[in-house]
Amino acid sequence: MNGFEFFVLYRLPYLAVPFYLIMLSVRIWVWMRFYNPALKLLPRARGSVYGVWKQQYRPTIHIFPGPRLQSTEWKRAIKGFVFFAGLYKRDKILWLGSWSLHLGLLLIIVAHVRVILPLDLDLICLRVALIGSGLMTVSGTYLLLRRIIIQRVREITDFRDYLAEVILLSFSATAFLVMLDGGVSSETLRHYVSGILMNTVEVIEVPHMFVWHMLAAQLLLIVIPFSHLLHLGGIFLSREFLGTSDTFAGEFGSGLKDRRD
Amino acid sequence: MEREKKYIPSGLAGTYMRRIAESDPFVREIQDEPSALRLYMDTCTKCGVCAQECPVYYGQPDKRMHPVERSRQVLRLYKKYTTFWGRFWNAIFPKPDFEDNDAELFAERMYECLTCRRCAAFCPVGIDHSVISRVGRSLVDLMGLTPPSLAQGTHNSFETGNLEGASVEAFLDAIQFIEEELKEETGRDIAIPLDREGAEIFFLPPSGDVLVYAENLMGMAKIFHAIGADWTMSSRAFDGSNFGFTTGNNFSMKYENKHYIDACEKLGCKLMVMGECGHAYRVMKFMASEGRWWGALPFDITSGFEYTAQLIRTGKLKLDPDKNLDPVTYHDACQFAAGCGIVEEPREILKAACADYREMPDGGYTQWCCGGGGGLSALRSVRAFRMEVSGKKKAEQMRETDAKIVSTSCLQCRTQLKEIARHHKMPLQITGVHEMINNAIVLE
Ligand code: SF4
Ligand code: SF4
Repeated sequence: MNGFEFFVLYRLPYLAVPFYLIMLSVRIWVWMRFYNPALKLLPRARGSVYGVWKQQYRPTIHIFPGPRLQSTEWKRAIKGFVFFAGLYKRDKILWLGSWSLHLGLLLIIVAHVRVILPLDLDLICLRVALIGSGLMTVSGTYLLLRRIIIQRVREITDFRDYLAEVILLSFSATAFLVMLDGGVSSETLRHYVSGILMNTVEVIEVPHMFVWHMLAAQLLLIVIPFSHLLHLGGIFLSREFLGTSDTFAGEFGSGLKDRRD
Repeated sequence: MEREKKYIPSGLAGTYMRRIAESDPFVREIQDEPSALRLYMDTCTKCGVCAQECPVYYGQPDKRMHPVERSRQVLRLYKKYTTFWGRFWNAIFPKPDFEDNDAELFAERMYECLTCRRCAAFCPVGIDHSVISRVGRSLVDLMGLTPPSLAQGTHNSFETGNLEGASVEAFLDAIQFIEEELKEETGRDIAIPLDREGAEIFFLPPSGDVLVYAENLMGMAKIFHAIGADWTMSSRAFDGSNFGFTTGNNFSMKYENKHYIDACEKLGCKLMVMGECGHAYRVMKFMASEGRWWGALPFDITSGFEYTAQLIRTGKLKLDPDKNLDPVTYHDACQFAAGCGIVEEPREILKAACADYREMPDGGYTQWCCGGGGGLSALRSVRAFRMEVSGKKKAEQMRETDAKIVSTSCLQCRTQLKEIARHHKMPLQITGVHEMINNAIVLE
């Protein structure tokens, strides 16, 4: 193991992971200032911070206002979050690119579960990761090209956004190459993770590309809080307070129907 | 200065807010405004979908008109004054508040957004650029750079309770004139009751429907007459509009709203029926009432559209569609459609009152703004922009429908659509929705 590999595998995680967690927590705290915890104590809160929030002047009201049925809300939220149905209605090619990117990411994350499960899932997980990383690489390339080619997207993209997308793409491409190289066994990964947790350097046999994959993954954690990739957290709050499940599910105007139900 | 009267709630919440408030009103304005700005700043995926759907960007697809780029002008101020890193970098490398240090350019740009919310309907993460532009406008207002005609309207509202600045006498004259017109047209005494205490319904049209386009009010008066409603208007609060909402001046927005709430309460009415102004209705129904600005209100609130559509549904109104034979289409006013969810009612009314109703392409919740939204139609200074840029899509759509009449639910839209028709040489008649009822209603 040379100095570079040692740094990437055994020293950078101590920097990248806490940095990511701290930065994300700070962001979440700032976002949660919507609810202003101090106001929770007031009698006007009527039991919920949301109640107070609603009473304060905020022009960010629902786009298509009107009381909704709880069950319809849920259905729409699932449609929006799981299938990106709203985006599908607006821009089918963008939907395909972005949905498959997120699906690819999900598959990669799911494939990592084998590290903590006491089962031998290597065969299936490596395949899942291969598909996921492949999917993510193809769609990530499309999204990056779209960003460069389409004027209205290029106009609002700055250096940080390009950097984030290039790192994201490197993350998935290196994952794909690692998988093509036969992947890394759960046992090796467990050794590696326990080495980091115990601060002991375990000698592990991994493909060289794995080091680059780990570098990309950690750089990604560092860059997320400063780039448009931050929507990974903000969207959950945004859905609740800025948009409605209508917009996410692409069901414009159904609020009115519900009001009559 | 008006700013000082800015609404801060009483009690503990007010004390808390005052304590954290900045002494510089400009900074305070940014701080007080929706924390949503932060979320907007952090969650934008920079996908460009909003630009694809924005009528202004459609008319002029360049960086200046890009919704994200416009919002960036406000968000950089937000960042500079309210975030740790913003303050930090500004202390080391101070930057001017506005690009090119040009506050007037900033003001101009804030009035290049129509606040139509079409972007919000399409944005995959639900970002509403109209909210950000409104915050920008509030800063513009604070600097005294609100376009003069809008500032005058707000001023008039403070002074006289109506945008037009009309006196009570002028209002009474207009009402008398409308009653005479009604008599002449129908041969009946259709009264427009004023200041009747204890009446069931308080009717609140925008003052333009009394002083300029009286046909809407005539239509409504006929409806009330036909069903024998117990209704009244107020000679003190006869303008159901809201320019404070448009200019970003929160104090003015609340003041205008309170003015007619007080009038309705004083008359002891049980139901407030609001006329064809989406700004006023959105503020009243979804901000003041739902947000409980003034506590629980002792009356219900509905729009003229919901009220009339309900009468049609229950068969209480008799309409003769043959009185409106020309093909009619409907232009959804942004504040009614994307702001209040009122989409089906005006259509129900027009379908019942007109023989040939045609749908406008993309009509409904995701309508394209007329190009004069957000107060722009009141600005003569931006007429070229309204005709060639922001109104470009609407002109194309109006041509596409092949209708002879475009009916709409907002005075601002009416002005803009009329100008578009004239500018693009389309022989179109622009009407209000209740104006079509005025023609079609059968009084027995
Ligand atoms: S559509 Fe929404 S997420 Fe996409 S660029 Fe516009 S504001 Fe950002
Ligand atoms: S509110 Fe309307 S005009 Fe303003 S950015 Fe959004 S779509 Fe464009």
